Amino acid sequence: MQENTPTSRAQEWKAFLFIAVVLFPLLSIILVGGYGFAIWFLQMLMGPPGHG
Amino acid sequence: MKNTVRRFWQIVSKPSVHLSFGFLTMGGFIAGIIFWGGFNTALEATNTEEFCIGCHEMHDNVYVELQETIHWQNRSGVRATCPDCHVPHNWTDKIARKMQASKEVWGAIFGTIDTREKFLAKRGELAQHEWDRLTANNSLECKNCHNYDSMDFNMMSERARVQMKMAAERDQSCIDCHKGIAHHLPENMNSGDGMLAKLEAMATSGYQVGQAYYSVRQLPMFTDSTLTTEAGQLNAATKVTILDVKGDAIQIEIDAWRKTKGFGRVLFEDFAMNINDGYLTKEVAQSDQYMQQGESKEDDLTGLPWQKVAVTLWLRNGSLTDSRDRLWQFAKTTYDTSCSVCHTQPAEAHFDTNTWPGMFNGMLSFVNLDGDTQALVLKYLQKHSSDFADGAH
Repeated sequence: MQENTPTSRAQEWKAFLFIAVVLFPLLSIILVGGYGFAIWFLQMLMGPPGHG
Repeated sequence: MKNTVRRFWQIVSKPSVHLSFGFLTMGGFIAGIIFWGGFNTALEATNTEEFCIGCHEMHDNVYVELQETIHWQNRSGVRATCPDCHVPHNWTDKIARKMQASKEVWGAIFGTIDTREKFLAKRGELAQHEWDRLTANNSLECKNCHNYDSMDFNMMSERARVQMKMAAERDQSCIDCHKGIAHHLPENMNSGDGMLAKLEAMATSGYQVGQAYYSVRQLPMFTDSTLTTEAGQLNAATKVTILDVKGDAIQIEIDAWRKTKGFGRVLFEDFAMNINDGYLTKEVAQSDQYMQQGESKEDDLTGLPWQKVAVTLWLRNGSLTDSRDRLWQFAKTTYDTSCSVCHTQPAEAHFDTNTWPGMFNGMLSFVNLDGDTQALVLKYLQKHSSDFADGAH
């Protein structure tokens, strides 16, 4: 695996599948989960959500 | 490992050599659709009753209790499942609640409430969380199904009608009154069961015209002797003078004060003292037909103008007593037992009349007193406050 080795078709496929099936879904879940946690912590500081 | 990551970065940070632009976009798009579908499916799957009662803590405690209530079975065949009431429906709050459930996962793993005894010991705290949440959002989850505008007040009992109409006017939070309707109340909470009957039992019969009596509980008032048009609600332990008795109806006069700012709907027992005597509907409060207006005075402390009024309205016969002391005895017993659950209750004369409502309301969420008993106990405290007690500070 050298710096300038040209990428093969198989490597690109592997990278694509890894991103689309594992990495990005995982990141999305972490992002949404983190958002949820952030809201929860805010609620602990500022009280439960009110009504509008 | 480090090499693999570097190599991976090299590949993904450059334009692809073998895979076409269209293919990558399409591939990412399709993967996104599949992910989003899966995400929502998982979200929905964790939002079912089956999932909730998957652990025995929920199944053996709260789920069993729900089955005794109207939210489980009723004549119209609509029922509420766990998430209907306990998971917010709007997306952001829902996600926050889902994350909050990590605490429940923790509890399930470490057995925080894995026996009935542990659950019962913690019930008060857990219930308080839900009450706080519903208080803050004005009972949003109840109102997702129940709507003040869709209520047919005519199908309610007389007592419920007056209370619900007043609650509707203020868009009151359901949980203010309806606690313990889907699950049992925490053990040390004084259940309101039978209180009303105890109050009613204190009523005397055979009223004399011209005599003064006291209401044993909150009573609906009407503008006429046929008891059809509501005029408001008389508070508990309020002094009324009987003017006329006509079969089922009695005509009463209430000597009270009101603040003349706003509609002047709230009646108070004494000048500049917030001792509630009852409420009038907007129509009655603004009409001269039902009241005689007396002197006006300004309260130096608040700068509010007060006015003496004599209000004449009709009540359903019954529910009055000639002895206010009996009511006070009952109120004192309730105060002593309910409020000593958590702490030594302060002496009645420890606060003044206008301080008691704030103190009392601040403590209400820790006990379960029905509206009538609440009103009675508060009035008892106010009438025995430092303003009325000799030698108190």
